[in-house]
Amino acid sequence: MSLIAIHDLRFTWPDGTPALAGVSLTVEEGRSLGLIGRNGAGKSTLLLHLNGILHGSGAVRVQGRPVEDWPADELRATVGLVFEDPEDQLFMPTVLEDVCFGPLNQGLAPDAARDRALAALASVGAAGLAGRAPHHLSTGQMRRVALATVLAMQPRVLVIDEPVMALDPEGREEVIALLAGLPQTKIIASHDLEMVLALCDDVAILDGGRVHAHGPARELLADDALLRAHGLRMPASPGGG
Amino acid sequence: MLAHDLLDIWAHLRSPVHRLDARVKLVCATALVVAILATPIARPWLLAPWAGVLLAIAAASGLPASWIAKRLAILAPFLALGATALVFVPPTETADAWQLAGIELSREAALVWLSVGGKCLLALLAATLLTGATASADLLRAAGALGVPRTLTALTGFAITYLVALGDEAGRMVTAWRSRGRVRGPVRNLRVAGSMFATLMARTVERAERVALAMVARGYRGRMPVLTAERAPVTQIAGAAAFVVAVAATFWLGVHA
Amino acid sequence: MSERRDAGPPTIAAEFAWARELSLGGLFIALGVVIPIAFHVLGGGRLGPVFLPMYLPVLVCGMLVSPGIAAAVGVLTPALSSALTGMPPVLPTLPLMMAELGVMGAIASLLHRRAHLPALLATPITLVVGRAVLGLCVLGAVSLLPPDVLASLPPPMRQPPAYLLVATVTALPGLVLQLIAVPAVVALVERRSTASAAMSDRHAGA
Repeated sequence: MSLIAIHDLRFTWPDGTPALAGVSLTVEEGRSLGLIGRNGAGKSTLLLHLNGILHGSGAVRVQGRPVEDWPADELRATVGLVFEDPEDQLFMPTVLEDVCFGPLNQGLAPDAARDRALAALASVGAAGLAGRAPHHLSTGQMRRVALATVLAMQPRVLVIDEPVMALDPEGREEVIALLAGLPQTKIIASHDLEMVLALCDDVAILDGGRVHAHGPARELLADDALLRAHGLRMPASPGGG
Repeated sequence: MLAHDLLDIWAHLRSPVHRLDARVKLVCATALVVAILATPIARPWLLAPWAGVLLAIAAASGLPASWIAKRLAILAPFLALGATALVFVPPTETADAWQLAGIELSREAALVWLSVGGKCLLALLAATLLTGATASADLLRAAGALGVPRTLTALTGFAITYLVALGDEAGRMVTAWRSRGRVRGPVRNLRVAGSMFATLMARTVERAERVALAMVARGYRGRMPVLTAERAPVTQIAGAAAFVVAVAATFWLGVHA
Repeated sequence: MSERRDAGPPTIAAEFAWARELSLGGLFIALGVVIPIAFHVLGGGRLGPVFLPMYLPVLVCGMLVSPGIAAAVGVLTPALSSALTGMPPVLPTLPLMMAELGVMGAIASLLHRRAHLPALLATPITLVVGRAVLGLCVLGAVSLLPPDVLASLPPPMRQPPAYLLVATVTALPGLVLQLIAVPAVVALVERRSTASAAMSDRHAGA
């Protein structure tokens, strides 16, 4: 049984903009999937379906169970969603309170939530930032903390939207190394194909709300014609992984 | 960069005032502000003890005097406006007139001006010292612990968390507007400024909705969770109680003496 | 189709709606602090009483959230601004603005969100009610003052109707600005904000 199975998922925004036009996709436990495609291909919309925030027609199953049958809190603890702009995700006055937000919502006692939060911060190399205000962090630090806010909920699947956007080369490298070291099943949406190549086993190309190709990252990311047909370019330095 | 110096820039200092529990500081500051505002308006000299206490706290806080002065200076135009208004209040009796540079002023009006101006200055000084010597997050948690409704602390929490980011965004728009050169005519100017602020507000709504999505994604169920803080040290609680009693006693003595 | 059948525990749409109230309210309080500073930078002082820049985010927010949150935003915005920037001054402006903006936020929300009045109509009504509240508050404040203090106030302050007239005439450009800008922003936002529409239970996938 696949950890995540999506079948013929369709979604149109209320203003009439079609976003997903029949997406079918599976992700196996322990693998990592790169979701690639041009801007507006439907990547972010698809991610919002994975933990039940948006509901399209078709089926999204997590661990074999349709998302609408999951208790909301369990689903959100199983599928952790990291948003594109960490500034939107860090909304509490201090880093510690922010990382505790998820565990406290899960019903943990404050002490237990604090322990989880500190462990999550340590795991992203941000233990020293607990008392800081999020708006005083650098972009790289924000990325790490945003990741910790979701890791503290101990999800089985990490769903990450554009994890290295707006980072300088050094910060980008650090975040990639950090993600590579996380054991969870990962779904990463991005058009940074070098990062996808470094982090993902498989790749799905999304364009016009449909999956146009799904296969091993090394194969798909070496197919220049295929990538170009969907507004993408081959990563500069094949290797890594 | 419009709001970067409003919050937390001196929160890292290690003065005795900084080290006090935020709840203690909040209670003491509230007591002072209430006393300042309740002081009879016709007797501005009764503000003197509050000024003394605040100056002592300011000295102990280690906050730069220049920064405090800059904060207080914002009231200058307001005070000047009040002073000019004094000229238009004729003295009621000759005994009531004050001579100043050949202008006759009403003594009562001058006292009211002193009183209102003094209250504004001192209340702002109290707020400045409190927010200057306390991390904003601690202050919020303190307000929650002291019984301020959670909706209000949550709203204020979002406000202070995004103040700097929104200030930066507004600052960038102002810079962009200026770099394109000023347009001529007040109406055109107003239209440009209006559309600028409209864009800022529309973007802020979009950001607020992304924030709400992030909250829901992390299990928000209609109630903001709070981390409970540890108890304040007994000596500090006693100190705060003594301070409040002293303020009340001073106030009573001043009014009834 | 994806119509959800859950009854009982809060639906995700309800959770999102409440989260949005708080984040939107909080962010607009921040705007209510920032926009007057920007006005100050642009206009070099003394434009505040003329353009009422703090009213803009409070009114727009009022049209987008529920009455209770809208009122809280109206009360908290001048209070936070006063504590952090010194403007408006604690006396006499701050309490008047807290009352005026709190009521205006609630009225804007009641008219637009509850009674579904278009923003174009709701804005002028809200502005008129706001001025009336301001007048009542000044009247109340003045009636509390001892007569000797009252006699020593500058002439317009002694008579609430005169004060209100002066304040309203001074703020005329600002009131006109609100009249145009608030409905425009609300229309812009309601057209663009796809997320909140998509989150409502009524919306289903294609």
